[in-house]
Amino acid sequence: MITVEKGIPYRYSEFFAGFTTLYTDRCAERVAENGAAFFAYLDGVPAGYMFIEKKRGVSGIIHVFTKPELRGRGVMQALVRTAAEECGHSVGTSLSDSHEFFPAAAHVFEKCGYERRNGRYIYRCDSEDMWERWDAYMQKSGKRLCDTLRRQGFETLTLAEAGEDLLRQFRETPYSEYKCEQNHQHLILPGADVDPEVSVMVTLHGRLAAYVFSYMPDRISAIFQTLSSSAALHGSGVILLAITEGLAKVRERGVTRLVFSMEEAGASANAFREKVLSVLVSKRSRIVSFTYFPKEETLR
Amino acid sequence: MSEEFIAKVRENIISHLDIDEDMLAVFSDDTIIFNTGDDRPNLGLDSIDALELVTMIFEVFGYDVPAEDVKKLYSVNAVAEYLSEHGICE
Repeated sequence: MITVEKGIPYRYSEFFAGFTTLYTDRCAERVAENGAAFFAYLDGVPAGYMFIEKKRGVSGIIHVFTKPELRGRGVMQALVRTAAEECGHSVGTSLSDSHEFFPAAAHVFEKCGYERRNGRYIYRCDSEDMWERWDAYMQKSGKRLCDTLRRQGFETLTLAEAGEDLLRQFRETPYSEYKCEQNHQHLILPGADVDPEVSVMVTLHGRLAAYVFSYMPDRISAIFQTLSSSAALHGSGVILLAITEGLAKVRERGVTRLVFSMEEAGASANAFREKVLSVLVSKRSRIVSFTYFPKEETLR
Repeated sequence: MSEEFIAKVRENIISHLDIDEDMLAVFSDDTIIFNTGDDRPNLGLDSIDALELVTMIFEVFGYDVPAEDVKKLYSVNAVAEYLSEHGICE
């Protein structure tokens, strides 16, 4: 019989000796501050655990683990079902589809009523010659293309420089206008991770045309979290200007490691990203989200 | 609009955009170059290519295409007609 209990047992590390990692410990610290831990027992024996973090009203499963010798006996299923029942509101998780456990884990989440959502592409850039390669691209064609965009009237400014009118435009524009899967408006709320000094907005004749929001989790890394352009300007290439300015801002800060976390988009937008980001990228992967929505809660 | 002008537009599009031999085999003056967001078959070039096209029009024909008009430039004939409408046909 599987039972699931809330809270971290005091013999936690002893129960899972040999399986915990630095990542596990960090997760445990994070949920101790803001979230919950659940432990599963199979016939009274510690079998697995799950950490759920709550951040700005959103709950996410940040780690779920079953002891290898007890896998295939419903432990993970019991844990993720508990997450769905306990939270009282939507709860989600993200999995890399290149991970060897992905098919089995995806099957469990879907079986427990979690909805598979559009994926995100994660592009990592950390090679030593990253900036040299970007400079070569800019010299070869990027600068010429950015000059065209500026001649067309596109202008850039940081989120910190954006006036109230521009922020109001951003807040009042339905995010479907940007063909985004997710609402980005919470990203600029006070206390959000986004760094206004390195996040860039692009305007055309005073209207918001595109934006790239990023943040720096440490002094050498930048995460480009969101990249969007107005639907009316899709296909114009304006995103190139947003990326170029965003990169210039983080480079000024001495960044040597970049991550682009991008929503899955149409074929043309994906092709664009591949072309531009392939200049920098050393690794790419795809993350798929699974979200459980309680019956009374609508999708958005 | 003369045949020579259309040929000049065609040659510049082929030389400036990322059009490979496979694409050339099916390329005509009415071929839709970019994904226009509908079901019409197209060569699938992306917005960087669209930006290359706008840059080429400025460099070769001396006309700055406004960003809002980029979607009108979806084929050789469409580009030639667009330029002609803006007084450029040589």
